[in-house]
Amino acid sequence: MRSKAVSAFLAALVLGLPGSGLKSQAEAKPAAAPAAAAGSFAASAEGLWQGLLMYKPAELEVDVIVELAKDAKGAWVGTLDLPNQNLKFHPLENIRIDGSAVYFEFNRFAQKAQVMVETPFTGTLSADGKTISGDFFEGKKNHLALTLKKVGEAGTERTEAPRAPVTNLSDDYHELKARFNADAGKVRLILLLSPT
Amino acid sequence: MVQKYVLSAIPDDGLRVYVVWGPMLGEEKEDDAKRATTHLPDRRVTHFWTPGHAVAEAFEAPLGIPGTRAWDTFLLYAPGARWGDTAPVPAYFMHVNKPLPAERRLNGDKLAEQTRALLKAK
Repeated sequence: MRSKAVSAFLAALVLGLPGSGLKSQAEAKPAAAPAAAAGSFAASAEGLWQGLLMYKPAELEVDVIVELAKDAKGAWVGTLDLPNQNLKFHPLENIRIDGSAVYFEFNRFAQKAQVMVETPFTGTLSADGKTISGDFFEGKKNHLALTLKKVGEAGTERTEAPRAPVTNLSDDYHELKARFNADAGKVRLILLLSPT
Repeated sequence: MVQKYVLSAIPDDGLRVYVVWGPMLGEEKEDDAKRATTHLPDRRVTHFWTPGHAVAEAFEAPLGIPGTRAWDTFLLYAPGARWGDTAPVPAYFMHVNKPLPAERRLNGDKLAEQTRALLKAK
């Protein structure tokens, strides 16, 4: 489901539009990669991670899923999902993991603006390996805090609720009217939404 | 937002949700609607798909936005409300980017609060 609000948020996320309410570059600058923790670091960034980009609590919130792993040659690879946008397995670029320091880029071509927008993430892996806390720097300017929690190992199948039946409405949408009136004893909420 | 703030937070069986998925942006397909049902995994939710705008236009008058299709709106009804010849006026509504009061822009907490109030008064 994509409401216009969420679309607007995502536009801000990938385009760095003014007025997005995000903190400015003056407040926080994206580092090439955060400083690595001194000495050895046992925890691994490999895994399936889930987080919530909270632009405005209860108003604009976007789920994020990140998967990080090493390929056969030992190089980092990764993907990012925005489930509510039906975006899945978008490849991450320039992934760098150095001790507890995590860096990757979520780069997308903005069709409407016809520009490539780079969105780096810098974060820190917790000592217990359960979270990566950091910031998304949308358009390399504004930033939005993001804490990723480990929800599984790399390669773990993404869980998705089963699809529910969908009734096709007639021109006079009598199916909806009938259902609404049949439930007249209930509190009812009608949502008129785009599914994308 | 509705799943997190309303459905998950309010398990009351006195609530029903009807989602009308449609071509708000212009290119949505029925399969998109089927896929989107996974975002509202709750037995109290009924999903509908329409390839047209008739439903969204039917709610222009109840919301007082003639000429602006009511896509991206959230309409809450008290028990007893019925749909007759015209679409019913909601007891409460929220919206996204409509020419309607800013204080009614979608907010999960507020929508949940109003839902709870109607359930309590039931």
